[in-house]
Amino acid sequence: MFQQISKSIMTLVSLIMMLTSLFLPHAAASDPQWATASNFGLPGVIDLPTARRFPDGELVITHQNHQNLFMSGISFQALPWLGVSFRYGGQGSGGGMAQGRVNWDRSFDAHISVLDEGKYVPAISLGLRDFIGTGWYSSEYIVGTKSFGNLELTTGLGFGRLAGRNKISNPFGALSSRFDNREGNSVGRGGTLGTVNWFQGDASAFYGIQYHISDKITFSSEYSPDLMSRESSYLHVESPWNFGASYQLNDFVNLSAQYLHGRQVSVTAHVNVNPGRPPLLGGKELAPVPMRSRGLDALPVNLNDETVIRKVLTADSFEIHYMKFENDTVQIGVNNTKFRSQAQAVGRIASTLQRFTSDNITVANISFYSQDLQLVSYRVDLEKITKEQYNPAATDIKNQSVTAVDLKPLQGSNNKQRLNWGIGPYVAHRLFNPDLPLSMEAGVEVAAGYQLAPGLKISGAVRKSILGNLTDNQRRSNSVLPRVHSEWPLYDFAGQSGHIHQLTLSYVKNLAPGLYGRAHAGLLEPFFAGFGAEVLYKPAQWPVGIGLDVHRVRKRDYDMRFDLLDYETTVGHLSLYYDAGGMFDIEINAGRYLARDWGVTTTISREFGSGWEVGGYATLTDVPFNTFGEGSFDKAIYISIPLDWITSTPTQAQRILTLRPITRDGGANLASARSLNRHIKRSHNTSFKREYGRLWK
Amino acid sequence: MKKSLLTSVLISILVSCSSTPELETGEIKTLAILGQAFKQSNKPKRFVDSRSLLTRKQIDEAKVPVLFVELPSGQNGTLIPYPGQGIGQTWLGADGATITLDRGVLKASRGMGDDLMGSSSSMPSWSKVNKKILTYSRELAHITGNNKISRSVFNCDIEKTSSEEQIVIWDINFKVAKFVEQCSIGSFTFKNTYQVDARGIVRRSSQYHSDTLGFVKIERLDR
Repeated sequence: MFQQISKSIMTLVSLIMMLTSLFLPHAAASDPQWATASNFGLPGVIDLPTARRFPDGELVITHQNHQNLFMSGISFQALPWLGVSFRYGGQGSGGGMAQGRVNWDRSFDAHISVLDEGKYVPAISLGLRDFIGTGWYSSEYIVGTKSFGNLELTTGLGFGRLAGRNKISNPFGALSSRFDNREGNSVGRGGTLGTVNWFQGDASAFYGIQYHISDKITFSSEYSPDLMSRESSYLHVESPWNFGASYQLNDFVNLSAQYLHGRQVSVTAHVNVNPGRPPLLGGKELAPVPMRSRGLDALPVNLNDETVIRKVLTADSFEIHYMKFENDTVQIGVNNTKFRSQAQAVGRIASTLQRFTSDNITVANISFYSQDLQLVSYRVDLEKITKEQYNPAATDIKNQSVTAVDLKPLQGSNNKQRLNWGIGPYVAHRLFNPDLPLSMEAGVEVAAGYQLAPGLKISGAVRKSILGNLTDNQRRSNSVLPRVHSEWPLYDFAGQSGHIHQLTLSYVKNLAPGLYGRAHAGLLEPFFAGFGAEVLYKPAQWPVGIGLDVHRVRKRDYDMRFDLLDYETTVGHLSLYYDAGGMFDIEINAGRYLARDWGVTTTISREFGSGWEVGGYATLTDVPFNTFGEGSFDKAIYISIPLDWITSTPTQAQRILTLRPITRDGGANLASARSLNRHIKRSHNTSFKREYGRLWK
Repeated sequence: MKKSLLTSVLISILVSCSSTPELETGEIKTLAILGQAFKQSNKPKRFVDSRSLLTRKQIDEAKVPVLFVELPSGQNGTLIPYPGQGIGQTWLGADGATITLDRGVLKASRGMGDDLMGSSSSMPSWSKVNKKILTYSRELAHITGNNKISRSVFNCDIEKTSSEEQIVIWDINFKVAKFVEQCSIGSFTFKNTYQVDARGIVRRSSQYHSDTLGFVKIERLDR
């Protein structure tokens, strides 16, 4: 009887929560209240979720370790209301896989914030755990969280794996009978949604409590309905209660110790970073040139001080290709070697020209060059900008004083330094091999390039490994497709004695205003040699670019020297790039891939004004999922980190961290096929608009 | 704190790879840049005190206007006017930072990190401010972590709290009037003080700059 009443109450509560979720307005974009991360990397108590959300753009790196679990992951608040998480973990002990685990598995979660906490209403969220692939943690939840001073209470309904203890009938069953029973999960070759059985089957209630003793210390406890059935062979659950204490070491690092399931001690570390929260706000650099008064009240200036302009711009590490004064216009072509922010680079040059040109010069056409390509030009009204330096506009929507334009290149690049070379370390890694989850190699790389003529360059890189465990990998490709990428272990082995990473002759040219071209031939990348070309049409003001690339390539021998193997093919793609300067940009490449399969790669990335980029891509081709093998199709997520965000001093350096769950042959791209868009996009109008606040910095 | 972040990010990026290797920065350059950042973060946070370097005699002999600026952290320096006619009066420090004043009121800064990107106000001239409180608005523009301009419009009032008082700046007595400006937006309030001589020169002031740097103390050193 008591159980029946309890179940009815729970059903009622669930329905109220669900209806609240449906009819109350969506979460505001304002910053949420402080959210602690769970062991799963998204807002939570210990293992269980809370209804909180991270600040927009937050990236959380999580690592949890105990006797029966080794789990690392990265979470990203992709939208103000949507958090996503990717994890890779090894479960169990005494097994036959790496570290003696019984399973190594990747998993994806999503956490959707429905409502922020109000004075009288709790925050409400729903989420999906491990909803792609094999579904070790497959479960869903609806959760509410309310704080009372430093005390935070959480309650929710769990489904799937979170519906173990004190089950009740599914409250959504009142809406449709399809929620009554949970369908079995058919995962196929993994990597797909499989059977969509979300929120189906019985439900269980869960509870959590957190008490923030101070800004740094939090005590947590939770009641978990998870019976840990999948772990039953190595983990004996003695209690549904979990306890934890966490310590916020600084703005970025949180450490916690936990006592789980009545017998398991566990430790977790979280590292939080946010692209919009740099270590030093604003950055450290010398002040730009202050502008002078222009107009009737100002002292007249009749001479252009070209010498000072050159000195100032050289001090700011701009390489000047040309500077010409014609009527009311100064034309200047520069290579920006220092500032990652295009807006800042434009502002630096504009303020220098504004100050040191005569009153007759009212317009500046500033063209930016890089690697012998004219990337973009900006037209600056030197009179209009006078008052903007210390009265900057919040956005550039109404501001026409600086506009991106397509200008015919005045002359070829004047790159005096023809020979470039470098020697230093390289680090390569392979991830997600169940026998060897992380394998790495460090060695020495010698790279050099020589410019034969404007736009024409020969460049190459040679690598020799020194230490690492790439050769410990015992796995070999079982692909039934042409083994264009999956034979990487053979390359790792044979390349140990030193290999040519890349050796190419390349040519780039501005074919017309807004039209860029590139051709290259040689040992294009570690696995392929050949020749090909790429063109891109992207006028400076357009949010859209169109590209075409075609390459004839042949597979390189495993030792990665000059010999080639028999496999030969033609690849090519028609590409569409869309970046309106907003939250997301999109790239679509349709065409033929290395394994002679046809398909489409879609890349969606979120770009931040600070220069961070977080994105992911998926490639679907005419190769059936079963033929593709494990993972079903090619996909990856990546994070591009601008180093000036870390160092706070201007530098164009950036690093890209790519997490590719599995490397197989379907949808395999020629990595060197397309580079023009990436080359020009950081200088184009959309990037300028995205970082507009740095214009006068 | 920053070191921990740098360490974690360093580890992350050193194990990184990319499908577009020609576009990412190689380990050689990355290590050099991060090495430089580590060195800077390890530098002791001690500042050279301009007061121990500059004497009244030197100030007088220089025969140019000199400004002394001090941050709450203790970091300080002297600045001289940037030559030429600009928007407001811009002062240049030896470290390459600039401060721009408009009638002695902070208008902008550059090269100071979380800079004041600009400000504007309808504050009346010093001569029109008396003991009666005058109200007006002041707009401050700062840069966000995502490189957007964030503007805040404060409601301000200003009052002359003292018509004549003596202050000593670098061994010289100045007769000044004291003005107190109070500005608020929502629950956030700041209070600036200005001590202005008979020529309308702000001899000493404490002015709100930004959340990160707080209030800057500014003194005009020349006679």
